[in-house]
Amino acid sequence: MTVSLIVGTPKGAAILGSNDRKSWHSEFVLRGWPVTASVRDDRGRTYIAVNSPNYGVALHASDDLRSWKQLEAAPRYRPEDRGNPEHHRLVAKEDFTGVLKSGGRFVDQIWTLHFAHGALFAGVSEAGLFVSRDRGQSWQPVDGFNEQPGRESWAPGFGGLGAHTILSDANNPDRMWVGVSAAGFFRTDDGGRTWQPKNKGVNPAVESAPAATGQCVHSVTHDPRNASVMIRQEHRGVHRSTDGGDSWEVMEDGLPIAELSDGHHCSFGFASAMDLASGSAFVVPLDGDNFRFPRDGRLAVYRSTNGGRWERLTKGLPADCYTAVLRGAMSADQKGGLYFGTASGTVYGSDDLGESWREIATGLPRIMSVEAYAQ
Amino acid sequence: MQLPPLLRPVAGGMRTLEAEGSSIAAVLADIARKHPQFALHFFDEAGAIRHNIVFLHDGAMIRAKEAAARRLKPGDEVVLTNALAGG
Repeated sequence: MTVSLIVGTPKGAAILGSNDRKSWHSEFVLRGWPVTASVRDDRGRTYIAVNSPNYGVALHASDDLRSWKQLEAAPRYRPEDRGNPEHHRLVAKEDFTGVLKSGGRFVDQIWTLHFAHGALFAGVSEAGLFVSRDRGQSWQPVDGFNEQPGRESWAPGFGGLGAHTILSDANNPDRMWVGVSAAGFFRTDDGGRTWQPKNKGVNPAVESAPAATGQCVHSVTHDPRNASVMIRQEHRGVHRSTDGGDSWEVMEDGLPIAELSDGHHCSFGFASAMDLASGSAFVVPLDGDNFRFPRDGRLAVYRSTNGGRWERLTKGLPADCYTAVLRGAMSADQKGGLYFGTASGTVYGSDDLGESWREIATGLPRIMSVEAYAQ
Repeated sequence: MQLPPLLRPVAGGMRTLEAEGSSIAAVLADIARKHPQFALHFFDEAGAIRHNIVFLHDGAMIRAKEAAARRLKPGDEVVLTNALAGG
């Protein structure tokens, strides 16, 4: 078995490879480019998303993880699309003299890439969804999502207004989910033409938002073959749904509970992942939104095998660790391997579903994304 | 036109590219025609030159919004670079 990890950082991608999950080799590619997301399609081609504040967003593709070719196309809004002023302010859409750019809507980052039913999907900021049905050679906006009613009320999270999570249903190509910070979680049941907020039971992080949105979803994970069962790491805690997001219940038994900056008590974190064979879900809690590092500096992964109680897993993980695991930085290879990277540039791996961990790379820049593939 | 190190892999590692045009903006458009993968790096959604790109020509720093008006002579050399931050 060969395992490959695509580790995205602000200065390029580390490509880590192993035949036994113990000895790893590494290559650093796309040097100088912030790498924000990656995905592999059903033909084994891997796509990496890069962005630069100076030179924009682009995609690179490789069939062997060694030779990378930039695609000519990337997701782009239309010139007439109007932008969100608060997002502009947060992501500094201004030139280097401090002049704010015009009110257009720009793709300043690809937060996530997803492959389903023969198509590539990109979730971007300013928040939107794009699709490519020709393996990245051209991209089209999903207008049903990008122009949906209520969009004007969306408020960005601290990282901007970003569509960072895309999930699909292996048995129903018309059903898909997209998560947006801090607008919430949305589902389509008609192939993307219309979308409904799916936040019932989740406390809004934006108090002034309309009743149906304003949730600060951080990540969502599920098994596409059993797509309606979902685990959602929210700013305000971990939640679980068994009906495709129609309703959510708090699922925090065993997790560390922190007081947030607004006084709310709940678990807090960003990353989540699922091992499809076992159905086990994993999260990496942080000690609330004030501290954003593991409680008492003890790095720990929490696992739930039954949709109920969470177990704390620390074997092989460090104490005195005051870093974070970002939302895109954990991945399961779906052959029993689980991996995550920290904001201080270390990658940890487990080959026993989290029971024990080992450091497999260190000295990297801040890790923004991890995708794992085993074959 | 001399490319910044970040963009040289897009041109197969080339440090400079030859192009035609009577202004910096025209040269940029010519490069994007010959090497389409550069277009999304040079131009934003509105078709404007990306606002943090700057050019060095004949001892002067030319901002993106000035690129159309900056005239070039045959054989001129232009450096494409970008705003830098930090110390």
